[in-house]
Amino acid sequence: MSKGEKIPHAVVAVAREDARFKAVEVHRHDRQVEILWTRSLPADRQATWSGFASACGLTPDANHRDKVAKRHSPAVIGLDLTGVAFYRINAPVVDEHELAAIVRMQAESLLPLPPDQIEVAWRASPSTNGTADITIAAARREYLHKFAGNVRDLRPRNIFLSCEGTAKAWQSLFSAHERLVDADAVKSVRPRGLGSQAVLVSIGQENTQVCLVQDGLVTRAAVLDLSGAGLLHSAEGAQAGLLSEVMERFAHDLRAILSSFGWSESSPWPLFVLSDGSPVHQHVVESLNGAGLPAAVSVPSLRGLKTPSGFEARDVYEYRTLLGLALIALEKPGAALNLFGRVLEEQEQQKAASAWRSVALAGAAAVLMLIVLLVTVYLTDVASAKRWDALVKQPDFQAAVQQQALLKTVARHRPDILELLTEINAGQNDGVVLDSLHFKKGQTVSMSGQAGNMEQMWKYQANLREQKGIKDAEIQNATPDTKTKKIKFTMTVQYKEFTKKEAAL
Amino acid sequence: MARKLNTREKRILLLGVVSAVAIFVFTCGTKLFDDWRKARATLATAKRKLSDVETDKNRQAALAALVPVFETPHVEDKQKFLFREKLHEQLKKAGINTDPLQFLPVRKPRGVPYRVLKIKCKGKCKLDQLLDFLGNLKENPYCVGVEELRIQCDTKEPPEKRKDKQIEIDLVVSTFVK
Repeated sequence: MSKGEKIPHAVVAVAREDARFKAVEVHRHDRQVEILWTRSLPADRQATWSGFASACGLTPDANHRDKVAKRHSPAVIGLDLTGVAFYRINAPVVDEHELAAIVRMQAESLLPLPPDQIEVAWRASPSTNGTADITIAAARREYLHKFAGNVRDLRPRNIFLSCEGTAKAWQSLFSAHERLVDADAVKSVRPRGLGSQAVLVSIGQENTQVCLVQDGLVTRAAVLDLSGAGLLHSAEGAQAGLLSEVMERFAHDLRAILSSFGWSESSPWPLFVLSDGSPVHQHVVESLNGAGLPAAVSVPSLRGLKTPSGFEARDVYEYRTLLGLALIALEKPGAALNLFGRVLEEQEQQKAASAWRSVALAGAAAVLMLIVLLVTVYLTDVASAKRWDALVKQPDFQAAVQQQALLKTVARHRPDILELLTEINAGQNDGVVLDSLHFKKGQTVSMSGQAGNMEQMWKYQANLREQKGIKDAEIQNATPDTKTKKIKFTMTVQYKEFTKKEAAL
Repeated sequence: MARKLNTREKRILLLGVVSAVAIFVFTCGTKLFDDWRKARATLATAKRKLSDVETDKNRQAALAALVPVFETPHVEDKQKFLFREKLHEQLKKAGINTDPLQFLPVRKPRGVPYRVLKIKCKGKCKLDQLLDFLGNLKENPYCVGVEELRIQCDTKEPPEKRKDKQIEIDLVVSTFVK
């Protein structure tokens, strides 16, 4: 974690443990830690990190319509010890840069693979006698990249070693002095505090994790084959001989691991077997004590925890690693061994480079398409221009166009006089007789006539107004004839466009 | 033995290549762009000419109904002769007696690509004869249209006795001349 990065108030811790995917969301209040929810699903062959993240609502479901990534608290992931090796070296107390160079050199000599294939994280313990104890965790880079790729959907803020979470959980949530089985063990168990070292034995469903913890930080770790499931099977099998044999082998293996950690019979470290209060764990402790190893059970407590309803102390045991990982993330994650710093950075760089590549590729494709489009349009235009130009230049075509244009001109200037006469006489015009008609292009058509009475004349005017080609039928004058006792009138009408001034040739 | 180019030389070489490509593209591009612009102008002109051609069947039918025949105008003298002969023939065929046909001065109206020649005729006929003449006038391949028509009945006759009586007509028809 960079120095400028803020410590979150809430985290989601996710890990694969005991053949199950587990997740827990933890919120930190001022002096209290609240567990918001927990989730656990079997990690069978079909199960994936992405599927589990989706099941927890941390990523959009592939089948779900809402494809937008949901907002959630920062995620911290636990990496189990499979594929991780611990080393411990001594180095002179020098400044951090020099120490880093020394560690790198010594690590290269210790590691079985070339340095470019290995990722290393280290942590120095407080110096004694002018030298510093360095804890080195190493793993294959390819393995870490693969793991980081698997958990990519969770968008992890940090990936820590699960054993560090277990150690943190033991330090914060487990009791060390309860349920000790042997008086000697009580004497030998020193309180956890400054400079204290203890060995944690965390029996899981698949294996047993052994960690040497100093000041709450893991300095060595190893994994034993003994599983909680195997122990339970042996205990339930009521075969005292078999159980005894299993425990003997376990004690023997544990002693070997302790030796590799630097165990000394003269000043033994206390052993704590993390337990949910199960009799099996009690039996393990008894067996270890019988084998001369000062062991005690350490049980979880809900003290200082705000939990959801139904969440019990045994659930703290169940989710111990995740709670520990969450607590590390909520406190000072910079102290944890971080194997993934460079890996996540590289993946981010790859992602950014990939995004740029995509943009560049899309840009190049767009430019190419544009060029193709331009070339196509150019060729099409040139070919069309040639073809159409040749067509319109053909004599037949030109003659036809000219003839049609001439016909249109004639049509535009040719009034249909028969149609005009038909419209003037259209309708029932009883009693109306026309005496004269004058049509001249560019002038209104004028008509004079006589009608039996005014109503007949008006009806005639109304009839004219209904005709399609005639507009503005107006009576110019109407006078009664004293001789014939009829109404003599003069009317003007507009006929289509021909009575407009510009129609005259 | 050839030596490898250093960064500066590579940069200069790259710049040179880019410049050469840019010059080539600019030169060819300008020429192609000019060709393209000409081609588009030609295409636009051709399209405009084609769009002037009436392709709608109904409009073509309406045009043919209104102007079934029309010959391309000739020079003035020839057109005068042809138009007058045909008009005379049509008047005669309709049985309309007219005074001698009178040419009006040729003029060039705005918006028309030809000059206009008009013939005035004055005569007497029955209304049926006039309608017959007007109906056949569109068959005259030189006639543009009726410019003026005056019809006058004998107002001294009472309306009920006017049937089959002669009416006076003043007619002006036009044609185009080159």
